[in-house]
Amino acid sequence: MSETVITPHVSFHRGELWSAITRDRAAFAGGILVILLVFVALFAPWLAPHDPVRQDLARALLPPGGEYPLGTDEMGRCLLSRVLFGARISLAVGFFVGGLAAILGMFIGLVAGYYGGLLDEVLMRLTDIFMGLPNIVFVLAVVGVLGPGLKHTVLALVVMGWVPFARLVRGSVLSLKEREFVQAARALGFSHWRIMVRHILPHALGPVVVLATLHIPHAILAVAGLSFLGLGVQPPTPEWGAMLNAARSSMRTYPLQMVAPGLMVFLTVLAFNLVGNGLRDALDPRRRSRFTF
Amino acid sequence: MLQVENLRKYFRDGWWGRRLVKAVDGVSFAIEAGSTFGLVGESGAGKSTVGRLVAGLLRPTDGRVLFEGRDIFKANGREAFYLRRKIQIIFQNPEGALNPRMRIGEILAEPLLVHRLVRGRHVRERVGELLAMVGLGPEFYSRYPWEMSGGQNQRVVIARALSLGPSLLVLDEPTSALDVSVQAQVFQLLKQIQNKMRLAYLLISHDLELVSRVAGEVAVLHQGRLVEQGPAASVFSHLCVVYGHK
Amino acid sequence: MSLLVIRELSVDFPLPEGTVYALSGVSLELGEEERLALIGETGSGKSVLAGAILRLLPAQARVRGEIWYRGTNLLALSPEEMRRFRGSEIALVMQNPASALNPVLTGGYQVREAVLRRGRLAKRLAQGKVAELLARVGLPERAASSYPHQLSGGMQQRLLLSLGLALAPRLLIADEPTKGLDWSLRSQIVQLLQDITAGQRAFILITHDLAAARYLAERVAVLYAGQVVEYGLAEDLFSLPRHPYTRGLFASHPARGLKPIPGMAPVLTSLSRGCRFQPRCGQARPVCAREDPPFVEISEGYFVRCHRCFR
Repeated sequence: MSETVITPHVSFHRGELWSAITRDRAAFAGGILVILLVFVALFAPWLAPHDPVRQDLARALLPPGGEYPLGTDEMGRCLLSRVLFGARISLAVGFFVGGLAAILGMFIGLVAGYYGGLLDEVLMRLTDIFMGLPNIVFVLAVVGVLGPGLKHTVLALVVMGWVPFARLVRGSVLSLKEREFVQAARALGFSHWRIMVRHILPHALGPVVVLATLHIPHAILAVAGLSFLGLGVQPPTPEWGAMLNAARSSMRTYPLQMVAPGLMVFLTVLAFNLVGNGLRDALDPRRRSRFTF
Repeated sequence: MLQVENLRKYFRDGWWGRRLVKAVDGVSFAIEAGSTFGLVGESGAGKSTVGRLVAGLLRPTDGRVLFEGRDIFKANGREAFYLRRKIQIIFQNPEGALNPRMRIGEILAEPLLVHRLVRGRHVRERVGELLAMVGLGPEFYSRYPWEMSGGQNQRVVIARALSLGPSLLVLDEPTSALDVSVQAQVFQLLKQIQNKMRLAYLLISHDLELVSRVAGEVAVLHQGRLVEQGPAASVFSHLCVVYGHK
Repeated sequence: MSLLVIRELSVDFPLPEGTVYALSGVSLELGEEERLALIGETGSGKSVLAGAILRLLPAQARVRGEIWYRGTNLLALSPEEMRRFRGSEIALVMQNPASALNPVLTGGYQVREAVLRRGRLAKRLAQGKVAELLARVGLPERAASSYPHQLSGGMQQRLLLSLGLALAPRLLIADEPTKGLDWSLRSQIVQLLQDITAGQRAFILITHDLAAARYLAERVAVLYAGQVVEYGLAEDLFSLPRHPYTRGLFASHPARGLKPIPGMAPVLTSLSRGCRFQPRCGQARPVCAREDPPFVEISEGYFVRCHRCFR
């Protein structure tokens, strides 16, 4: 009998995921780009030719070449060094916000889906409220109340960010908790915590990883945007959004100052999106249907 | 050993729960230690609900389930933990009942550790004994459920239930997902275990031939109520009249 | 004259883990209006056989042998020619009605779709034909406007059967039509299968339900590990099974003793020489492990694949 078996909850066997990803060239390229960016961020102090914050007004707005491969900005700081160091903040923010939002949302979704009832009702109405708030308005409000700065921006992004994770995980948990092996675990007298963490959560993890990967560029863009508006990272810290803002005044005469950080933001976001989409496709059960007899 | 008294379970269904479904409606029976009690009925008769109530997976709307004279739904703390161990349930689909991300060894060790029955290096030893008890060799220790046949998985499920030293196993259609020859193997194993450990079975099935072969006492469930109860032979001679079957 | 003749049919699936030998050297014959039960357990190849007849196997399947249907070798047809045979000449009733029916279309729509295939019938007439088919399988009129999930398991099975009958095929193949049904539904479906096949068309029943096979089929083939091990008239086979596997299978049935066959069916990727049942066989002799047993006609029209029966 040639019945197509579709596994609703994908459990991955090592190698399968890897081969699915390497077959997807776009995701593979994105992955290499991400690895490169992480490398740059980690080794920025060694890769950068100059101190990214040292000012030297005598050497302001130098053209590329020689000692300064990308030239200098209006304060006489090395543009290449600033772009390289900028990767640190952007990636750190991306991973931190993506990771924390994922963990927070995951546990809220897990608890809501597993216990159900009033707790579920309250938590889900809370997500409705957060989903109804326009993201940027909320972040602006938080920064407005607490004052500008990276910490407050990150806080606001995490507070907004957990919502889709909670929804996603709750949905999987609702169907997983009816599965027989979870019923069996209950019959064996296991604690709720053990059942949630050991028997339910691992099966709901795949889509969470995908969503988190797609959430990282979202956070990077948000921080760059807020810094561009002067609300996020404050000068003289090298950050791509803030650099774009500083470059506005000399945009016409010296476009490279804007192109360099802009391109970095673009590449970073693209890289994470490619990886996220690749992961999503690789984990999609519909693409893994197989024949059994 | 087990007494079920006037058990009821109602569910709400339909728009805004306006329809009341009486899945189990006043069921009473008793099971002796070391015996097999068959519960038969058509699909939707409420058999599985009774099984889940007895195993403590659902709370009844009304009625009591007494194990060695103690109400399993009133027990607290240590006593509840103990009763949990003593009544175990085995489901229809063995592959579904095993966590696909865990190896057989881990699956069998987990209940031992949770209930603190065995410690440290003795765990592996005990798991080996359990595997041997259900006729599986030590090479299964590091396999995953999806690498094994349905019959082997059902043996693992049985071994896991046995690990807690139960007195009663609820068998909810334990072999209806298996081939006939594998079904016979599983029941041969269950019989051996019963003889050795004086286990009682509550066998839930729609297969009359199977129940009549295996069970001593039988009850017939119809729309949530027991319509017939007694020794297998006499109940089945009656049933032929009721259902006009064979 | 024979409607269907299968000669030395072998099917294997080259998979990364190794080649699965799903069927090896299957030869069967089916007369016009004859009914055959294929009995076998998981992995015996009985469903693959149905897939091979209809050429509905996955693309990687390697099929060898011949399948003659009324003088045409089905395996030699082009895909388009084969498509014309499906439904109108040979129809398959799939296993598991809950997933074989389209959940977003009403029962009536699905039957009409099958009836109207290739515009054989004016739309005006189709309505009457749909009602007739539903009545034929004992479904009430409201089933035409119901979605599959609104029907009970037994009614879904009936609906699936009506799809199979839509183009009045000469040969109907049903894959496990009584699986998962409880006793009263099971006897209803068996009765329905009797009503729609007896004396009207050829029928292949794929099942492990011995009672249904005995009631519905004139001839029975028992499959084990991709081979037909015993093949003959149902009366003879049920009253005196010859092959040790058939005997073991019958004895493991609850009604006949619930006595198990020791061991497990072989893995179809690594088959050793000799009889495939030999490792589990209580009556095996040294020759059984050395040589493949031949498929021998021990009396007229009765075949067994066993060294013990061969003299």
